[in-house]
Amino acid sequence: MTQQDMPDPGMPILQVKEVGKVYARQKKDVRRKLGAAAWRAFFGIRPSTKITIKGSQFWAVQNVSFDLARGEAIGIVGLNGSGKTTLLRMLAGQIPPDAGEVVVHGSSAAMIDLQAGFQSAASGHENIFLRAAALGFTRQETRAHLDEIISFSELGDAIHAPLASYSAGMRMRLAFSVMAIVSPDVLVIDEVLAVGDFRFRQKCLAKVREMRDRSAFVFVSHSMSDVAKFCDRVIVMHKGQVYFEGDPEEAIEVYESLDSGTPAADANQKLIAAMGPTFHNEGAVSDVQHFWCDTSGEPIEEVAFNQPYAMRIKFTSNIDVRNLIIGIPVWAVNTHYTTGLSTQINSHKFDVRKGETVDLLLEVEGGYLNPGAIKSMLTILDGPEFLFRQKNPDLHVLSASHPTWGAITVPHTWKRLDRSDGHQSGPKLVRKRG
Amino acid sequence: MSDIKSGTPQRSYRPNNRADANIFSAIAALIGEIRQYRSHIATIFAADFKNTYRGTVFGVFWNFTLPLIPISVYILLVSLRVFPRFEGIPPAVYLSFNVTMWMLLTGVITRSIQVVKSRTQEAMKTSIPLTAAISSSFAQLCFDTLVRLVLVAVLVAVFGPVPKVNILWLLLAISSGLLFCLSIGLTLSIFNMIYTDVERLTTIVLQYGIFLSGVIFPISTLGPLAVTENYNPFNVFIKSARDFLFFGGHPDAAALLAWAGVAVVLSLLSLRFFYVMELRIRETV
Repeated sequence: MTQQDMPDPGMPILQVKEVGKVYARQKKDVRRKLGAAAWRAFFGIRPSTKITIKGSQFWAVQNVSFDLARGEAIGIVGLNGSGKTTLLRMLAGQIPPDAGEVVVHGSSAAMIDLQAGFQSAASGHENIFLRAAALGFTRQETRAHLDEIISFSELGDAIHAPLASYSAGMRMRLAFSVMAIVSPDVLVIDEVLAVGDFRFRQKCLAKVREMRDRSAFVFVSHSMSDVAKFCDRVIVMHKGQVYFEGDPEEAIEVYESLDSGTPAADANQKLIAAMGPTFHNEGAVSDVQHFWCDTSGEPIEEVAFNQPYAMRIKFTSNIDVRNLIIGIPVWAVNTHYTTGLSTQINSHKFDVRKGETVDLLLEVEGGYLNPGAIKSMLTILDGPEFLFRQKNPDLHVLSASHPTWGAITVPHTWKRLDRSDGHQSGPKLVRKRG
Repeated sequence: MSDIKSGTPQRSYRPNNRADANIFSAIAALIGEIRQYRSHIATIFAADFKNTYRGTVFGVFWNFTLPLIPISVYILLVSLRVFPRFEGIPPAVYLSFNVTMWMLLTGVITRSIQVVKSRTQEAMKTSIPLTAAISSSFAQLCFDTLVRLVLVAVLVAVFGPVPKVNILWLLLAISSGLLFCLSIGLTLSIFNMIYTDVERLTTIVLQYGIFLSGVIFPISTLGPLAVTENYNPFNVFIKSARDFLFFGGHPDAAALLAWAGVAVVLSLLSLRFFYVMELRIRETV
């Protein structure tokens, strides 16, 4: 398509109108649905437009609508099984919808399973021709792009080795490199940019970004940072339906709080999963007490942002411990593993004799962990061996007098270097104390 | 994987999109797909040819040897028992030609079923139409047939007779046979995706069928089954092709014409059927 042929920038080049797809969980229901369609097709009878859900059938995607203009990128996020890939396959024309309509003005390409269609026994070089031919390129056209493809893939001499000898990352490099020569009007991308190593992934993203101006993108990824960076708006799919559509940041929040019907319960489930298993070797340590307190040892449940706080840990060791390690992994906002407080930080070595009671006070400076509920675990180890791993009570850090971002605040200052007097000016957001 | 579609400025995907197609637009679309993906078909065939036996000691040599194995077994068995001439043709020539034709015709059926079964998932992921995969598989079948025909030519040179070819009728016999088998193959390939017993039943029928279709022995020698001579399309197509190749004529061209008519009608119905159902069967994978 030439520039002159291009529709107006604001005009949608992809229109999705109340699209739906019915799947069945049981084979017999698939057989019934397709069997009826096949016999009708064989005898030339027009299929019924009415959809009746029977047996194990369900709407894998239902009532999804959106428009996409050139230069726009829409993200589709959702939990596994939410219908993202089914929707993408319909957009790519790989499966027909059971309801609604998808209209594409121009050429389209789908990067849904980059490795499909490769031949393991053939070399990378031969597979380039194979994939390029599948994309509609003749041998001559492929030959013209060959150096570009090989160079982009960074496979070097390995390009002549059989594909079977490639690692998964190398296969993905090759696949993406062939795809990179395509310049469609609509590009559908499903999670395939999690390609190879970090550097190559950035290269792929840069390539896709290059195509931004002339193409429209539908982008599915579990990487919320990619979605946030890349998309103008985001659809959150849940149980086959559009659960939310809008601004990427809001959509990501909705996605992260999504659960099977109860966002709060989901977040809790996620946190439990993130924190990992609990454990207590009662034969090794007993009478374990652990709680957050102020610096005088008084138990607390909340603390002001800038105030120091502490944790009191007391237990009896029932064994000789040669290398006692106490650790407190901390999870803050959105279940991200935020930091760890460990006796290993100062190379402290504790040896504990059998029957000894250990009483420890961990002191923490305020102003580092941002406001919110601090979730943490107490872990007691003898070298690599866990003796105790249980959840601590939550500690609530109260709001700060200044704005905070993310889960932690790193002590930092700002200096202006363009002033000859060297005076510090402007914001000094946080200064490290004492 | 990926696919680029261009050409038409606007495309629309709706439920039962293809059900609106009439027979001729469906056939035109299928031919268009093969034309569009001709480069891919050639590349797939070349890659398969080169790579299927990669890593073996004999490599591509197997491509020339394996098609001859079944035919040579039959020839050996027949030669050991010193069969009389069948219908005026030495048994080795009779058998090698018949088996070559049988494997060509039934190959069109079985390969269609196998390709649709094994490549539907890949076709969905790559958006490469199944017609491209089936075509590249037929290219391999044509190669195998050519290898077998070389053996037939050698046997004819050794044992005779000198062929008196009636090229037009020979082409009619072969092409109508191929069309008939293509129709059966495409139809069964779709039904096999829904009712998975179809492939097994087809295999059973064809394994018995070779003995009842005048391939190993003329049907006229099979006692009560002799009455099926003109009702078995495989016998009609193979016998006609053989007669038009070696004798330049055929005693009962009416049967061939009748079955050629059936093949044309069936092909029109089955090509549209395949076109309409090709995308629908992706729900089974």
